[in-house]
Amino acid sequence: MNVALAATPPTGLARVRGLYQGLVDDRAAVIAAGAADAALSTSAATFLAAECRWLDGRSFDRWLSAWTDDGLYWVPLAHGHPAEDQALFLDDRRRLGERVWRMSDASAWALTPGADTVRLLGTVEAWPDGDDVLTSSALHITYCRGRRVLALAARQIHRLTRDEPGALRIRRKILLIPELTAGLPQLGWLL
Amino acid sequence: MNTEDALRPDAIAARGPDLSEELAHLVRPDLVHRRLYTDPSLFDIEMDRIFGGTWAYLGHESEIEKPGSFVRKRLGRRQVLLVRTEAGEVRGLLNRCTHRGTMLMAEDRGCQKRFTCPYHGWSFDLDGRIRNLPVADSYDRLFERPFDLGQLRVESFRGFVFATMAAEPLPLLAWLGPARRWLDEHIDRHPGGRLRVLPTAVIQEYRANWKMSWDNAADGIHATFAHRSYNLLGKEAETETVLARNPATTPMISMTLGHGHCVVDQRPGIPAGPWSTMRPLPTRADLEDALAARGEATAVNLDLATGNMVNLSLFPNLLFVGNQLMVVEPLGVDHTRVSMFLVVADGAPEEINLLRLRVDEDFVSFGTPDDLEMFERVQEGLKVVEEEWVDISRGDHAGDVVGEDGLVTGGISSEAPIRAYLEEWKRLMSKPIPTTVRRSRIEAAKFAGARPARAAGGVA
Ligand code: FES
Ligand SMILES: [Fe+2]
Repeated sequence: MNVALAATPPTGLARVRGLYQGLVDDRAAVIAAGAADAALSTSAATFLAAECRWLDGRSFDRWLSAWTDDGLYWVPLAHGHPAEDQALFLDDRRRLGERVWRMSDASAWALTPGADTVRLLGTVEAWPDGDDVLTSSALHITYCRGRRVLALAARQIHRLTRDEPGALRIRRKILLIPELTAGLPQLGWLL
Repeated sequence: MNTEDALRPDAIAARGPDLSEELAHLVRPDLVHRRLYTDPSLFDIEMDRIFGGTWAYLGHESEIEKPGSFVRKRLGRRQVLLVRTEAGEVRGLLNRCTHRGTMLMAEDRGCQKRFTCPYHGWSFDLDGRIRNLPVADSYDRLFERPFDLGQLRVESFRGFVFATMAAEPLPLLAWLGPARRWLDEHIDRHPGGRLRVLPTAVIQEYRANWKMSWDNAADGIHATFAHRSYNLLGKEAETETVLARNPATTPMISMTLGHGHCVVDQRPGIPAGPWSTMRPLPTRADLEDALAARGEATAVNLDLATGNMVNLSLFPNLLFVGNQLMVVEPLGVDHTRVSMFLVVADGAPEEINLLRLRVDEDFVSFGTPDDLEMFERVQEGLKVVEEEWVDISRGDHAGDVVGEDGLVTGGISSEAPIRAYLEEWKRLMSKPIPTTVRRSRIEAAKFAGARPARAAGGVA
């Protein structure tokens, strides 16, 4: 696999277009990929399980620290393109920080009292891509707040990279949620 | 024309009971009864008289640019295909086959030469005329049968398509009334008056009555409290969101516009223009730099990237919020769907439209959830049977200015817009409204001739 994120131009409109195209390319590459790399899949699965655990355990700061500074998180509404369609959100690291901040803001009424969630991670497949790792996995989220329960299924695509000590970090994350086109209660809690 | 004959395909029927007395009790100048939000039988009548009995927003012409293109919409409980015909006309066809009623198109949008029913293969032209009926000789006098697709009356105002089932609706411009100027203004801020509505909406549902969206639409004061979290985010980013202003002193105003419409103008509170309220956004720095490099990072351009700070609401189902068209769709007495369609300005620099993609995500992520939470909490509170009344008197004789035309201008805490839409609600709901299904070919003579034959022959 060679999607080559490094080709993104440094500034301006070209950079934005490049970032957006990179997301689309990752989605396409994962869907078209052949059998995954078994060893890489095992280590990626350990990391993605930890991500689920941090989020379910409301260790949102820990989760945020697992992102690279140039991280992008995209939740498209359908089979869209980030330069042409609305998304539920397309966040950079700063806006992810705001999402995390709201999780503990007592005046974020839709998130207070907070929800309990369980993320059930399906089989994780991983492929090397230059220095990065691309992964695909199915995710089932059960969300419970007050007396309301919501179940949500998604396919998640992660572009992981290794930092200096060699730990995996999240560089890109795409969450594909078919139910978004059907209409769902507010998803202000979704990370 | 004897259109009272309920068996005729062009029958004009006014359904349901006269509620004048009951509603005079339930909707008062200063109080509204909880049943408006909780009573399923009133909800059923709303689906006929509010969503169908008057004009409602159906869609935008930019969603169906090419001949044959269609989008699937709803008006109350009716599925509607908003279609562009070969001749370039806009039609609102009922998405139901005239044979047994099968839903014709299951796709949300597409482009078709004709619509073919999957059940027995009948097909219909884009203007609703029946085109092909396999085994046609199984009908005795086929020409007498009204098999063209049912249609709504649709009318466009500068690209915005409104629809109704009413037999004799008000002229669209009369219905828009003073709201027209605000709609014009909204359209005119887009270069060349060109808006394009993107196909995929953000769809959110809430477990509360659809009128919560209307109680909230012109409620300026809730922003200070319900959106405290959003405002705190703004402070952190050192931008002064309008919402964060002191509600007692902010100069934003609300106005009722007749027929339940209203507008909130936030601009008096933000002399530096809409863009000055915008927080940092993903891609913002790059796109602003790109505009600046071409000398196009002007206030006029950048203000286009965000909403115009004028929230126009057209009763019963269209709210302009930021650059989104928020369409309110009732699903049940305590279940509502809002679809937020993003509008882009094709005449603006590319960067502006790329910014638009990220701008409205901000409020949808950090503001809208708290609105929906309020709606659901209100619905919960309205379950208390003994607490029958909700007060809606705020502003009346306490700041509201009533014009000679009867329209009211108020401060941000005024509930005049609530009283005004409920007045329109009461007007529409009180008496049965004559409605009718349009068809491409209704030739009275044929059906007039068909009546006795049908009765005599006992056609089932
Ligand atoms: S129901 Fe459509 S063709 Fe029979
Ligand atoms: Fe709000």
